[in-house]
Amino acid sequence: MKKWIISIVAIATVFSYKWLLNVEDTTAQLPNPQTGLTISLSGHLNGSFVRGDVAWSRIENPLLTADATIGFFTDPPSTGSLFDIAMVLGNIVPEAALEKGTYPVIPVINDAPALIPGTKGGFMTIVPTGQAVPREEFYTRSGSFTIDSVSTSLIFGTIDVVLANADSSKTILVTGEFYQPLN
Amino acid sequence: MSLKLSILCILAMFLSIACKKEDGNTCKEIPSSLKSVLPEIESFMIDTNKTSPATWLGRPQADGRLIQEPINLIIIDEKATSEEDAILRLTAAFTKAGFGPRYGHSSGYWGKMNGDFYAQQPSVRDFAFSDYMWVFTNNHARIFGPYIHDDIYVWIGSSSRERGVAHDYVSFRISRDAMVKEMANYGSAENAGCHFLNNKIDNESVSTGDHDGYAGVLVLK
Repeated sequence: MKKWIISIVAIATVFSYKWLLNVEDTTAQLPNPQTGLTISLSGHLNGSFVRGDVAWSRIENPLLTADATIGFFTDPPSTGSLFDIAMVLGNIVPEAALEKGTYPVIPVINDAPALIPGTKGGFMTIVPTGQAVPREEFYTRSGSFTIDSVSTSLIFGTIDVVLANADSSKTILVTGEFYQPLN
Repeated sequence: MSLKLSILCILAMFLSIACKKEDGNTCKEIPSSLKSVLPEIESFMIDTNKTSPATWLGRPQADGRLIQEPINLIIIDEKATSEEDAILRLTAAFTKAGFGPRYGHSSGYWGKMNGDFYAQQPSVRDFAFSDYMWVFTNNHARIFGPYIHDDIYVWIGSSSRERGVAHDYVSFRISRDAMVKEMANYGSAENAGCHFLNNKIDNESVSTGDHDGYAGVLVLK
């Protein structure tokens, strides 16, 4: 009897183990992710680009937790590229960190993002390269960013925003993805 | 060759070696006619407390040392007609060269000339002269003055390059040289050369990064 019980328990354990191995990974995965920004532009600038040269960092602010924000940025002027690009996402809730979800575009006025405490938001800016001064700069006017997954080691998501220059005479639609290991 | 001549030649040789610029800096020292208009310059940007040198918000660098922020720009204006006019001309010159006043930089620092404190330009809180938005790696400067003597207006400044978003120190030289170059390129000023301020530090606890001890000197047009 004892041998039967042990056998049944052993078989059950094996099947449980096999079941565990086959549990679907519910973390969303991008197919063939490229580190950085993988984006398509249309409008004043056109084309598909993989910007693996963007660096990433957090905004240091005593009012925010260390992982409440993330920024991606290039070092202007980017040689060999049509544009410089920067993007920032923030969860402006005390003690909060970045989390999955939608980050609507927030206005940038004279370089100051209009972050509203208690909300999530983001912005992007693009500066075409090769310009003489004064350089024309584009800032997000509408759309949103989505964080599909974020942890201490990785963040990725999607971009669907529209940028415009100062007088709104030119626009750039940006769609794509961001993918960044964080360690 | 006589003994006296040989000794003179050897002395001349040693003199030329002693006069070699720090770090192989190749810029030309400004002429004495410009040196004579300069006040005594405190060679570091001074913190908001007016008592200690600015040290990049007290943030230690990767090697654990503090970065002390040197004065690396001198701007001379012989055409301004008043202090207000000097401020407008300074701002216009930087803006024309692509370094207009931009938000996103700590402010409230001081410069010191002939023992007197001079407030920062741009004077708006959290602004500096900068070439790109603060989210990008950028070259920016804080300017102090003007010291006024015999209708000549003298500004001093600290120019630095910082890494985007994080605002980590990158370089003092790159920013200084970019500003001097573009101010001359865009017709804002004449590149008059450089002036040795002997403000390079490299010790166990503090450094001035890649600064070479020289200030770039511009004469506004």
